Amino acid sequence: MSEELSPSPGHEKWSALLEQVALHRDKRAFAELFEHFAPLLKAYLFSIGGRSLNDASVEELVQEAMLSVWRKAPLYDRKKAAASTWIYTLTRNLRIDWLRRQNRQEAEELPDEWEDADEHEPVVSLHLHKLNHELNHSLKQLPIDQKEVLMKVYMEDKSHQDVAMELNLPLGTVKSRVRLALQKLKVNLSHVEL
Amino acid sequence: MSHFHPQPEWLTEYAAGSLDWPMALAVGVHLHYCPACRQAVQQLDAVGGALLEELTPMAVSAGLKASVMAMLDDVPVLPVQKTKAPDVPALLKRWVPQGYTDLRWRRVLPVLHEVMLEKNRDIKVALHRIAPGGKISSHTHTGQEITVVLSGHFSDELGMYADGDFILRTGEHQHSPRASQNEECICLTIVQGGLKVSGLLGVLVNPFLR
Repeated sequence: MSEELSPSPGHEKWSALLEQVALHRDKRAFAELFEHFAPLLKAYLFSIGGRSLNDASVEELVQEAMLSVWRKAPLYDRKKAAASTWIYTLTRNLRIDWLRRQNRQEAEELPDEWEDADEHEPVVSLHLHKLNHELNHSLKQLPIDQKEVLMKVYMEDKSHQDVAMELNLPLGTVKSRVRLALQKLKVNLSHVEL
Repeated sequence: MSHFHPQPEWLTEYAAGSLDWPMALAVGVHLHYCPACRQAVQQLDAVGGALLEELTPMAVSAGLKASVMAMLDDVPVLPVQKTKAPDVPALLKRWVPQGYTDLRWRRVLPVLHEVMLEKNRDIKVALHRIAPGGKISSHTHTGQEITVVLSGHFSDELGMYADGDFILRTGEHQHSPRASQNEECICLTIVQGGLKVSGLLGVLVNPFLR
């Protein structure tokens, strides 16, 4: 794969560190990942947790997520996802399982089943490479109102409907802002759009 | 390759982690069968990763790093090869460890068997098995019903569905699903808010489907 098609250069460092962890159980590489990602995951869980997560459980989940990064690093493939994407999905799934445990008052851990659901395609499309490469840049170009709804859906645990109510907008407006934003980020949903 | 997919908002909410669990389960099971939706979710996940990096980092407590570092040696190494029965989506393995035939199917109607996976006040998650040619009496929904086909085919007034197809029915639709003549059809069904059977069998079936 040519250099210019890899996820954007800033990401190379984190991908390389993840590979170090995968191949050599390299604790120094892991410590660097921890320093970068643990505060981001804390911000994420805080933002998305709302009332359902208190301070102690946020850090507990950050810890659980970082330990998962250590354990699952061998599954990471830099050709398919930026390190931040991989760590994001892993934490998102942990949180879903955590919420589910809370609701069911179950002590036992649920099996790692989401990872398989998200299992990526064996073939990495050129399109995904292009998207990964340009994503951080195109995110900065988004109009504020489009980025706002995207942030709410992804980082605040809100459905399109919730966002519409919060911003006092028609549901259709929220849907079209999300759709426009995703189009600009080159997310291809053509097979499900009418 | 499926022909019926979750709507784009659902795929986005799935990637964003904001879809409620039973719906996320249905989308996740659909992904097992649908390369197009898997690719879409892969891209939507990447958006999540990029947005994560847009957040303002929050300092973690002083001892957290040290305590995580101290645990690393005790973390079991991930077995590289995952065991995989190819026919059952990973998300259903917990309930279907060996395959669909070994489950304890409960008879609801002569042509309909059921395994309840989860049930509470407002939601019912179940597997249904319709016998070849079996027809379920016409019903509407007070909430919504999601069906994901796991094996075989069925059809109703609105279409014909096969492996991985994702079908959403709400109060607007009245339908009577029927399995194809030559094989049984197994589906994952998620019912929110109950359904009303409108046909002659309604009186008999309602207590079971509620």
